[in-house]
Amino acid sequence: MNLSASDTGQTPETTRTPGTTGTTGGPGAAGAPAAPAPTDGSGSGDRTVLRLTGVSHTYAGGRRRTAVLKNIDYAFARGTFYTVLGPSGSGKTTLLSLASGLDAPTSGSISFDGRDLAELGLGRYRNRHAATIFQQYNLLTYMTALQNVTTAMEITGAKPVSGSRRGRALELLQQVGLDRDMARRNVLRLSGGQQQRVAIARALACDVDILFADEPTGNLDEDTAQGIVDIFRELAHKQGKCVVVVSHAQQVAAQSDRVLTLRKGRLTEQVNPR
Amino acid sequence: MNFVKRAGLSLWARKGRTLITLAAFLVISVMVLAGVLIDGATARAEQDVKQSVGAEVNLEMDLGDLGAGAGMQAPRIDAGTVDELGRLPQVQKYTYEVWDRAILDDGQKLVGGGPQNPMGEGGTVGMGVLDTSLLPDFRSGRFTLLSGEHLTSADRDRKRLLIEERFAKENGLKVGDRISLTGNDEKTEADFTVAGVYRDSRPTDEPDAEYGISPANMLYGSVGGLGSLSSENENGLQVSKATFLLQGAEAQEAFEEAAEKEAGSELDGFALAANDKAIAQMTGPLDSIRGTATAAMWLMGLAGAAVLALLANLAVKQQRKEYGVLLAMGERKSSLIAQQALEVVLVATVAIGLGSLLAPALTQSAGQALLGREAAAAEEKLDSWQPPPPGSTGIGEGIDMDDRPVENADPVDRITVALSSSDLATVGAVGLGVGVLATAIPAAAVLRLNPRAILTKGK
Repeated sequence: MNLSASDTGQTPETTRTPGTTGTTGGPGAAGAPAAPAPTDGSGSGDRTVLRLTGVSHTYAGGRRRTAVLKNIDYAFARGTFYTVLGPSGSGKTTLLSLASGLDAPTSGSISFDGRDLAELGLGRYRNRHAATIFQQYNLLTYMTALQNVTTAMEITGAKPVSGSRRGRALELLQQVGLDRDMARRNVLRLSGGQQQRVAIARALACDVDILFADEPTGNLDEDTAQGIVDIFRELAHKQGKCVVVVSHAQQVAAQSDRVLTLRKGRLTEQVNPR
Repeated sequence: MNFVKRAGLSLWARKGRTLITLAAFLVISVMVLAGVLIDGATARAEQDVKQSVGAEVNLEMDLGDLGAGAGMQAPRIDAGTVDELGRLPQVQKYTYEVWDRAILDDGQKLVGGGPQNPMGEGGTVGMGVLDTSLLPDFRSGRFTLLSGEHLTSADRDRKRLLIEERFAKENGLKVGDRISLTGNDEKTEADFTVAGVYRDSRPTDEPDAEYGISPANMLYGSVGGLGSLSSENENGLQVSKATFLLQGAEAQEAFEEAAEKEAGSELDGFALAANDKAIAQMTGPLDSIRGTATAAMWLMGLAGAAVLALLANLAVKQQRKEYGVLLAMGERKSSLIAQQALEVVLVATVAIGLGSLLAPALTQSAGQALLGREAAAAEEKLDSWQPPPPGSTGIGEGIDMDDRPVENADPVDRITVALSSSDLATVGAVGLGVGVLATAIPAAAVLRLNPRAILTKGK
């Protein structure tokens, strides 16, 4: 089975005029709320899966405190492929960490399906509802590619509709371009691009509601990168997942449904002009 | 049970680290087990010695009291009181000794060729003994009864003697013959019957360490009989030294309590002391290697715990990123700690298992070699002891009479090492406990952080 979504051609649902932009959150966000569907949920109806309300995050380094995110309000919807852009140090990875439950915001709240993550439990949220593809892959280096994927399935309790976990893992690895021989290799014996693909297969295997990815195509050649983007689109448009990708790649942003830009701790949204 | 699989994979994949940890654990467990084994083996050997020698308590002058200004007069206790102590339930047998100068009649002569006689012309030591079979020299085998019988409490008021083989030959005496003695006052006379002839293995010219006479001329007699030669005993026999052979070593404390209750102030100036000289002499090398083994065990145990803690800490640091990744997937912290602990437990179990196979043979061999050396050194020291010259207390020559070796009490030179399941369980539990704690504490410290902080090392 190939999840390639290159032919889906789905236009993202939005009430906004394509190409228009708006800012969200914060007293300084002129015109907020700007993106009707996801920001206030009015356009997304019950499709909102993750909502950030007044989220701020500050890092403390000695006596110095640096505010990375400032009072962000945003709602992510199911069936939507988001790209988060922004210059280095703008807080993209921090936003991803908070939204994926790897860390808790300094202030504000994040809710999944209307339930506050603090109440749901960050561990449970990560285990059942969110998966992250890290920029540094973060694979378990003492395992093979296959074991990395099956381990993730065991931890999250993901079960394939039919067949075994091992079979499903092999299928996902094949989907991202890794054959059986590569699947059985220790991940340290794979190239950077191949490791990135293992990390993607691992996240896909968890069968979660929201998939977060930090520069997932950074180490991939153009063809493979396109294949990965196609998978993300298919996950969003055919399986109704919410896919949030942090990337510098215009190729990725151009194919996403919504482009969020972080600048000086504030988030602006742009509905993809496609 | 996902963490069990991960623990196995982690150990297998990190073979180098696993082998180093295994080797460290193995060395430590063998060393600690060796200490435990030597401790057990020496304790058993010591117990065997105590059983074979028996428990003996001496009632003698308290040298501590003497030092505290109690005076130089040797304390005395009524023989009747000592008899009461001898009837206490803890006592198997008892004896006491009184001595005085005894002078031979013209018809008998002392064995010549010995040291200068400090007892004067025809004088020798008349040692009154309640039960000669309990004399340390008979018990140790230095004296052997050749004919006749021992003097017992039944002979207490009879006039009977045990004489040395050379003295008997010199005077043509045998069991049943009579011998006439005069007391220290050189007036009181009495006839004694030879009850037995014994052999003292010491040469004629070797002076007795306490009395300075030739060993061949020592006379042992019934307490009442010899006491009748002394006018000092008119108000009842006064004893300066008694020996109690107890039912067992464990009865010593109860006996001492009962004796103090029974005799009360009569014991003033006396001390009840376990005569463990023979035991100490025999078990000296055991104590020495036990001390060494115990010190080595603690040293290795503590150093080992530190090394293991360091290895476990390094392992936790090495697996820090793995924790972050697994937590990012929503793995439970308890599972991560369990995985880390299981890795240590698996390595420790294999190491302790191997250690339990290797340690007994290694300990037997090393412990035996160590004990052999200690025993040989102890034997050499005992053999080199020389009594002071006749008429000397030895103080001037720097000879301590307390160092006089006990005959037939050779230092123990063999131990048998045996690993008991309780020893193994103790070492295993301590080893596993150290390993698990050394892992769980740093692991718990890391796991207090959120996955992002772990993965970014807090940056």
